[in-house]
Amino acid sequence: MIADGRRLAYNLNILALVCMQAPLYGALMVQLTGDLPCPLCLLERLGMFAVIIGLVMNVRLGIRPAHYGFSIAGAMTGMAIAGRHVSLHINDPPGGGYGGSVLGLHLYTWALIIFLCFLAGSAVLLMIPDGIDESGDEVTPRARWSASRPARVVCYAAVVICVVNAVLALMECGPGQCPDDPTGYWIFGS
Amino acid sequence: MLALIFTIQAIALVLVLQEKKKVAVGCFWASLGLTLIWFNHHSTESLGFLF
Repeated sequence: MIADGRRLAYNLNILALVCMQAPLYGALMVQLTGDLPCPLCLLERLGMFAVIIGLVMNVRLGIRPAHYGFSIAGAMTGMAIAGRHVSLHINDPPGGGYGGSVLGLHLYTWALIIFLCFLAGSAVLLMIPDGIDESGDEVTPRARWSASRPARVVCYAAVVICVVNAVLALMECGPGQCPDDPTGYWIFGS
Repeated sequence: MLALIFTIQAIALVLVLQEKKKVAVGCFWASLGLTLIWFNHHSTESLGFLF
């Protein structure tokens, strides 16, 4: 029973990592088609990476309440940013808003929904019976990490997408402030 | 600035994978603090505030 609770929490952490990375890869695809992200869109991505850091800590270093706390702090930051973004466009006419939409909702609205869903999900994760690692466990976090290929793949994918975002943000905004409605990449002089 | 924050987060992720938790936690809070400062800057810029 104890091992089951921990295994369930571990697998759900990997699933949460996939669910947090999917919109980041999707947004990257949208960006590569020429739809440049605004500063608030990039700040929402930063909130998602803050969530991801806490989840990677759970997967790599063991499941701890403090690691969930890091993710929740990131989700609350992201929710504040996405909430501000939604409220900026709330009075726009139909078809307005920034950028394209997916299933009728803009990407920043999806970001707000994702952060809310994560907060609800983390409440469930924290309530899993025996879902927190303890020092006397038979299976150590290091052994579990070595045995789980999906965990390693999803964590290294998080590093890759973070580095790609850093490079693209530098190309788009340069060292200073990003324009509110970017029309081209700073590095190409536009 | 945004690229710098992304870079700090990437460093935090790599440090977590290398089991260097204390430095990773420092990077996490630094990135989150900078994110909030930059968000505040973008939100209040039109009002003419310094930050």
